[in-house]
Amino acid sequence: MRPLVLILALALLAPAPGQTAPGLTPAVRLAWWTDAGFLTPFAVSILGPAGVTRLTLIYDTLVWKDGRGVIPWLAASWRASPDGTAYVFTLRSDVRWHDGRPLTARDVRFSFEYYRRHPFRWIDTSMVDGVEVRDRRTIVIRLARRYAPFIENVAATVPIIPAHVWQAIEHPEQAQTLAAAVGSGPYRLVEYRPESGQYRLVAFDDYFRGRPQVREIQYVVIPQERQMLAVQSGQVDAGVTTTRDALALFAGHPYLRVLETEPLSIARLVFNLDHSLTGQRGFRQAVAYALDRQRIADTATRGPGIAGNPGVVPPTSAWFNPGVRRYPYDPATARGLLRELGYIDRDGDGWLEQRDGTRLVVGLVAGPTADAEVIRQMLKDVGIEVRVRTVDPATRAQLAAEGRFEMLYTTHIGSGGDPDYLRTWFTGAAANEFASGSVMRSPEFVRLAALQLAELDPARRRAHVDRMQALLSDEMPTLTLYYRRFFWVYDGRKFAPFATQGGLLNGIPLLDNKLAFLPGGR
Amino acid sequence: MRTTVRAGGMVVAAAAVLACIVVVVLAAGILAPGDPRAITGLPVHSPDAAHPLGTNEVGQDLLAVWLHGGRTSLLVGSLAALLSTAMSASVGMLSVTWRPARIPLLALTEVFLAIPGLMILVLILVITGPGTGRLILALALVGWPAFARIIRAQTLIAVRRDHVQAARALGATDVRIAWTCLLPEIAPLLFTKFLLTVRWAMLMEAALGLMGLGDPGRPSWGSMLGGAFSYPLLFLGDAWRWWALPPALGIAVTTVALSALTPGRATRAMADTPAMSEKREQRRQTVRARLPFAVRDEYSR
Amino acid sequence: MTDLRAHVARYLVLLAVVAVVNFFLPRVLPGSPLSAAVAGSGLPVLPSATLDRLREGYDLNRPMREQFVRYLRRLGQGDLGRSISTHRPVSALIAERLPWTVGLAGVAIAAAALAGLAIGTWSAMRPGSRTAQAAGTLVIGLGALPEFLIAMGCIIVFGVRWRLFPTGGGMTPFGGGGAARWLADVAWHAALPAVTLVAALLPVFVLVSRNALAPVMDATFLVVARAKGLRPRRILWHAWRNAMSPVLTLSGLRLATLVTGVVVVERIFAYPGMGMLLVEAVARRDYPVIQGILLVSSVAVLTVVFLLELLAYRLDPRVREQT
Repeated sequence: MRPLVLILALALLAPAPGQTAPGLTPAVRLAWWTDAGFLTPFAVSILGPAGVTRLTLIYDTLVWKDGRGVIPWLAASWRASPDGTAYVFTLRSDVRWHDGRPLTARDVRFSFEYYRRHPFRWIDTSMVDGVEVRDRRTIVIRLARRYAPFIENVAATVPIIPAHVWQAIEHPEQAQTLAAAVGSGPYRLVEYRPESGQYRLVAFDDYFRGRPQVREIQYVVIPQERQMLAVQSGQVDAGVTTTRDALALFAGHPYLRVLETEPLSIARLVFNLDHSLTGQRGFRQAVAYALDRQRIADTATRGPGIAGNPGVVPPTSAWFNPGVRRYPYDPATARGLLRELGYIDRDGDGWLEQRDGTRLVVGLVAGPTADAEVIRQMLKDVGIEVRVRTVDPATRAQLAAEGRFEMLYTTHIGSGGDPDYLRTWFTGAAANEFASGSVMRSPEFVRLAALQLAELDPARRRAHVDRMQALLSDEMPTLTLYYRRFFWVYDGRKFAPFATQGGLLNGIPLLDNKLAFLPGGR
Repeated sequence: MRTTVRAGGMVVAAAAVLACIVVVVLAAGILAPGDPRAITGLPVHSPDAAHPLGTNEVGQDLLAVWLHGGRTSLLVGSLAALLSTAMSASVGMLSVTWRPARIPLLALTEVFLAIPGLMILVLILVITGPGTGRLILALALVGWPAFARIIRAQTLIAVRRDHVQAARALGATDVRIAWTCLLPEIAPLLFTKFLLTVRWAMLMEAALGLMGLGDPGRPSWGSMLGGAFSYPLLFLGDAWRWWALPPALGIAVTTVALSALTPGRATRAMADTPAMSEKREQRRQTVRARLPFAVRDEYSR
Repeated sequence: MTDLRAHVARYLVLLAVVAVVNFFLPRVLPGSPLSAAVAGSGLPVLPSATLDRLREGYDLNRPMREQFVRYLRRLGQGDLGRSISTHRPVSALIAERLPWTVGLAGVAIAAAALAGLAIGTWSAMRPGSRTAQAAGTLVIGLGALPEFLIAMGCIIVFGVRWRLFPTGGGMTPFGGGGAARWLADVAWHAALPAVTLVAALLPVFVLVSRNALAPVMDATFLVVARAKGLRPRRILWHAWRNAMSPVLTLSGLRLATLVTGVVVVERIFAYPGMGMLLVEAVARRDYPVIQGILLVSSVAVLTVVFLLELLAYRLDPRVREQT
């Protein structure tokens, strides 16, 4: 029985005799740890960044990003109106949909109008007021209000969809057939197996930027903890880990290379500003002094890590303000601040007590992370008892929304690209209850957030953003613990991925930028 | 008679192994004094003189975590088993002796059996959040129904016995009958159930720890395994040998020893000759008559 | 026949209870599909339009009572609803996953039942033999190991060291080829998870078949049969007929409970089965999917139990006397 199975197995393992012209790669197989849903803008899974990233291989956007910044894409050129409430885009004339029809200004207008009824769920496009077709190649997008990051946050992220496919569809999220997945991108979706999360994307040879050099892109599901093993054994051509030890492990490997992304993943503590304990600024600052963020970073990323900036923006970002309050690790200062608040070790047991003699206890809501344990022990050193409550992500978001927490540990992406995230995260600008629980109450912060959004002059905008970071570091509604890079281990013989500036779609540290698969590369 | 001796030898060996493990983990406080959660080294470090089993992703000493973790695992196993055995016994006996409770109790048992056990556990832990106390209660809640049916079957036979009928005729109260006549009848069954459930609960604890639902505040073999398995380079180097293998062996040796100790099922089935006493034969028939759930769960919980 | 009717009625009531419980169980979970979407997105905030869309599309803004009524009405029409996270019909999701789980579990159970019967017969025919006992002990010892440890061992030895078998997935991605090749590929991928399951299931089957065979082997009627000069094979056949019933019972029950019971094995081997679907659905708070899976698996268990009880009732007069 076993020999037979073995022979069959070996037969299956042998590569099929592929005939590919020199310089071309027959297929690249990439891994993620979940299924990503059907690849249309309406059905794609928004549980994780994998789906919207894959979407960019099938659909194009008006502009795109390479390793340095924004570049022309569907739009050959664009300009903003003097008052900043309208953008004029001139489209290329040589773009075709996968079904052969030309992509025109009408499709762009249709896309934005359709998204008003059926939102593209990853990105807020509510500032778009109307789209006007000037001629076959020219469109004007009018905004309801000035929105400084429009090019980076909307024009570079919103997929343009074909009017002739979608105009008759009333429930776009239910349209999950290959016929619906028509885009203008370098790849066509030819196979999707939802039960195992497998995708086959085949090169679209009439692509306006040239024939894709990677002829086929395949996606498979590999559990997160098994990815390095899968890359090493050749099961997949790229896999990801967030710890630095991958660098040493694959150094000197004959063909496996490691790509370090920008530190776009952020781990931070959120304080509940409405709670009597964490509502005190002194307490939040004491916690900041008591946590050795560098050591937390080094432990979590297993190597020299990037300690958290109290101003939230990562130090590698062009928008980073180095002049904010730093809160260097200093337990003595932390104890001093706590003493001022009346938290003193009254009975000499090593734990601080409140004025009424009861022990100072603070709750920490977290997922199953080792960081929570490190935090607990560091705060123990200054006499604060931390009770860790481990919950799953959905519960954590619910507790945050309802304000049922004191401190909350969260990790997420999105700190790349335009700094408008300081507004959406901390002013509740997304206007929904899930704004991660910490909203800046400072009126000045809210005012600055509105100002920077409407400011088109880069220098003045920068000044506002600097001030916002300074306010965040003073008020400390959240304490950034560290930033994480993604370490992609990939087969260097097959393709040459690169780190997109600010991440894909503004903050996603994945390596499947379509430029890596096209002639001319990045 | 050789077979009995052999079986006896196995039981003695298993008991000795189990006793060793219990002694070692109970002595965790002496062997590895201090808080096992203290960060004493660099994260994920191979074994050296200071850390004979290396360190985990936080930098805790894995030997200390293993010793204290074993204590948690055994505690979870035995407490959950004790509780669920008590529940099985009460439901099983009450459904016979207390008429009005019969239908509701039987229905409750069947509903609990129809909904998959591991899923209930996962749901409970997601709802309440992981924690050792909650885990024990949840395991007890999931572990009782199967044996409740077997105990009920056994009680049904017991109440028909002459001495029980006689006691009833003499005016003994239900409680007294249950305590003095029925309990001794089902005691061996309860012992079996207890050992099986200790084993089952330890395995469940480990499986849940593996899924990341272990108690963050208390090391256990399950959460130690969970930590090891979420380390992406576990199998790329030798980390699995000092990180994953010790808790795995701890669980494996304990559960195998418990199986060997379990009377009536494992050992007796192997050691017995077919000549059974009439009494045992009768019991077997009853159990088999109630086959569907009985067979399924006798061995799994 | 009134007994039978009562029997059927009892199971119908149970089914109804399970259907109601299934509606409320996922909703007792903390959080909601919305909080799961925000947490799962990896972003700290999602646009309001996205959340509004989810609320409207899946009745989440309606009162619980109304949602319940709609759930019952849909269920009455045989409609399990649509998944909140993938927008696909729940029945399609289950139909994709069920064959993998049933296939894996079915093969494992069949193999365990056959092997268990063989070992059980072998040891029942040699009551005093040392080898039989040793083999029995070995099987029991193996079965005492938790399945995730067996899985781990299989992965390390056969997957990582020797690279004989794949360590995850249901089939080679995009394998192609004919039906025979596809089948071989699926079998190759199922090898390690199936071995794990067989090792975990085998002891029970050995014990059950041995216990069922042993008394028969010794029973008077076999002595008579032997005295009458029946050949051993014929005697064995008699004995097997007796043992068949519990082994079949056990197989049926295992299959029904394994619909969600193999979740640990599925997780370790990244197998695209029902257990993983349920775990994902719980993480996503995908109410319709959780409901659908719980319903399917409880109905499976209840149906098998019902049929088995019916069978036992028909076949075995002893059961009738007792009830």
